[in-house]
Amino acid sequence: MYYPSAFKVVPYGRVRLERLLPFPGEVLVEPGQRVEPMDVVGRAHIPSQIRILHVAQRLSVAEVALQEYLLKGPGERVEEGEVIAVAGRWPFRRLYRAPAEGKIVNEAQGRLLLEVSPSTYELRAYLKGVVTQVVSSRGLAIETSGAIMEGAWAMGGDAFGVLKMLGEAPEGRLVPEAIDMGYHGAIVVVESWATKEGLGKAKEVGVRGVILGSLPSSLVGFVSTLSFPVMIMEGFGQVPISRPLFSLFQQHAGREACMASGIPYGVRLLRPQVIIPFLRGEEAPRGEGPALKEGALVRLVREPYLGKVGCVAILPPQRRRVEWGVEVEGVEVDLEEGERVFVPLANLELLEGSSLEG
Amino acid sequence: MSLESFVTADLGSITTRVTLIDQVGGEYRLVAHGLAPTTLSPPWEDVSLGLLQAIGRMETVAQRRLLAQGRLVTPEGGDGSGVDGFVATTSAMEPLRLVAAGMREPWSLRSALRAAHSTYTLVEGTFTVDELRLSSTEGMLDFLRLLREGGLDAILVAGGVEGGPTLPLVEMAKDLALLCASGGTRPRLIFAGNEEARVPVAEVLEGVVDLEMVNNLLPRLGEESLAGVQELLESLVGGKIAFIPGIESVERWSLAPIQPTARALGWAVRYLAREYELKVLGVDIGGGGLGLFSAGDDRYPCALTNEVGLGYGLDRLLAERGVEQILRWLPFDLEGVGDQILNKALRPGTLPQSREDLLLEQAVARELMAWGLERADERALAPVDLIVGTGGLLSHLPDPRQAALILLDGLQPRGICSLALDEFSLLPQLGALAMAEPLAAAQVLARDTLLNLGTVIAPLGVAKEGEVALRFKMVYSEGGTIEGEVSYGSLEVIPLPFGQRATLELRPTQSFDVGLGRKGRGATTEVEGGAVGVIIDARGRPLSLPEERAAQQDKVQKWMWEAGF
Repeated sequence: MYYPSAFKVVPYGRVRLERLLPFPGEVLVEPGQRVEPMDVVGRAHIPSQIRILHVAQRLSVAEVALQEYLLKGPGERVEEGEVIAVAGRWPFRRLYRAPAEGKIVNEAQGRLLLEVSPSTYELRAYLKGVVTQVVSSRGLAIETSGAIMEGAWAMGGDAFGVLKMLGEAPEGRLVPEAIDMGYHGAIVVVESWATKEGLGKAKEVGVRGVILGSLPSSLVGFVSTLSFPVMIMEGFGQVPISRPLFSLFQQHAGREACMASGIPYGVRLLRPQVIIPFLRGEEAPRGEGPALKEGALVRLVREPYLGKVGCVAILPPQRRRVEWGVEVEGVEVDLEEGERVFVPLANLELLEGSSLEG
Repeated sequence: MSLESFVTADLGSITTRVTLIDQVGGEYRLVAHGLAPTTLSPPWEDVSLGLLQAIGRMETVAQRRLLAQGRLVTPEGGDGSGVDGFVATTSAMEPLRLVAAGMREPWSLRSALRAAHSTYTLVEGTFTVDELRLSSTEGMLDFLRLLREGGLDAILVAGGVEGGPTLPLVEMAKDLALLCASGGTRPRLIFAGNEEARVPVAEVLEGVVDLEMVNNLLPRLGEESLAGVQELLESLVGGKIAFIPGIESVERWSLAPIQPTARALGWAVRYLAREYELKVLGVDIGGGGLGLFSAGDDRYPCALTNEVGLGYGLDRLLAERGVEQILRWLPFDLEGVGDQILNKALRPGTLPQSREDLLLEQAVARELMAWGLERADERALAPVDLIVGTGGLLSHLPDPRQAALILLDGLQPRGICSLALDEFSLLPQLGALAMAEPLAAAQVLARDTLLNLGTVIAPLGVAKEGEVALRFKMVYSEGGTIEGEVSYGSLEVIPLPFGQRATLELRPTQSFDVGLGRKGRGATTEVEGGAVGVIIDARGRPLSLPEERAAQQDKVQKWMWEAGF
């Protein structure tokens, strides 16, 4: 058996979403609990910076005796300039003032640790379902039924909103004139790619997320400044979303969806996902995993065929020489456009989830 | 009982390679090899699947049954099926996540980073004693986050020469103790500073961290002692192997513990240096990282980067070097280079399908090597006797001359050296085999591993473009002579096929030194044939390319033609 890269597209099945706090905090739900998308399921206090305060040294007191001189201790909030420790007697009193507003979190070795201006981050469920796992102080997993589609890359965190297909747009691109206030609060699905101006307009309009076929790599820096997540389904460049995926998005337009940007996880690749929860009777049974065989639906993932979809026509038993002179293992693929091309095995992904009929 | 046959494997983060080694005519020889994608990522998440697939492909090539009921057949049966043993290396584990802290001056942190980069580490942050004291870097918040998540494998503390003051180290330990106590976890802290500070530092950190003391990384100014830290970090990396999904079954087959690939590759490079009394530089251009390994004299032993390879992390290379730096290695215009490079980062296992795409990948490899050398050590640029290239890119090339030019452009060796290619990325596997059967590793390394590309002569000096840099005369042992001159700014490839030898007489002009330490001094050397031949690289060091794009393209194309492709 060949174990090709597989691209997960599940039109209907069990879906799982992991929600993680950006900074360790508190998980507010229990396994087995039902949650709604906008429920707050975790909370963390994220400081803007941390400061080590060398209080004992500044007051010229013994480190082990610092507690005797403290007016404020661990767990207490302080204002900027507030006196937090005093040593000596009048008129030779020595004061230690808080250098910034914040919360003292610890005292040791004659020092205090100050978390400056902590803000409270609330983690929302973004999915209607049942909590199946809780990892103390870190996050949780929610499961439900619905569709799931993996993307190629995303930036900007997670989002929840109603899926809305971008309507009249030149060549399916996100340009300023293609988007208006009607997309406020929506996750917008764009068939092709986006211009900088188009993304800027999406920000003005107040979209919750943008899903694209592709993105010119020159816009990555700009995307990092946006307040909403951007996901690309195929790769970088100017490539439209492959047809089976686009059809699936069209089918679910108007439904609530969740964009999960994925977590960089060392050497393993965890791809971003779009999850569309809904209920529809029986789930399709999961097989042992996708298999590369004649008739299998594949997506081509390297230039010059990036983003194209086709069916495996022939699995040649012998290696073949590619244009630049090396023999590689590959398959012949009938592209949707009608052309038959030879593609190295390394350059295709099986569309996992055998049926895309929805 | 001696073991006669082996399957060796290297489970990379992208590709799994396997080799069948058996006795042929009383000697261990390479019989077959195979490869398959590593099945690390979803939906597979079990590296044994990719390994079985690679062995299955090798079965077909070798016409020998190696697998039965989903496992490797051991020992070798009377019918020739199976093998006596299995060993493996891997680079598919998560890297060690480290934070390094050092004294005010840059030396201690520099040594700490050099030790860290000798194995699979991800340095999440670095702090000097002042930065900690003044809480002056934004990275401190990340440090606290990692401490609270329990996501940090170790804090490496360096600083202070022997006999120097201990107070700054103790103060730094107190700052770290406060931070660690606020993290809610108990991290490992490796203290590799002034040994006189050990006792007071241990008193401060007792109960807050798991403390390990190792030799001072910098006992005296200018004298590094990295071995203690490297050994400890390597053992921690070894511990990470157990967490690779599916590795348990691979471990069960193995005669020896599964080695980190870099350790095994380092062994192979050191073996070559010792056995043949050479100064050797090994370069591993992998999809998951770049490794530079050297041996043979007082060199940095190893420098790895997990952050950037010819796949994962290319976004960082692109951000740090810029598209222009990569484009300068291409002899043509290409649209969407940034897009293509980032797409390779998204799907590192993919292969180029056109000549343009292939040359772009090679351009990235050149820039990656240059970046790696800059980060490694200035000593990496010292003359060597042998350069060995290994890794995915170099083993997939249609023409060995391309491999030679990539190594020359990326590493820019000086003087006289040989170039060799580890065609099947076998070196790390042999490093692992040496733990079980050293004779087998030595014999396969000597006979079947390295493809000799040829000899390089890279004279040092400057002249006007087109002026003669060197004259040569090559007398073939089988008869015949070639004479000629090489002008500054160009390459000359003199044919010398495998198995042939020749005497090469070099007469540099007064502005050039062929590595003998004196300009104009001639030399006569014996050279051996190889896949490319003898390469006289008179392009100067460092290589300079014109600023203007069209002139750049002309020059790169000229070098490719001169190299013969």
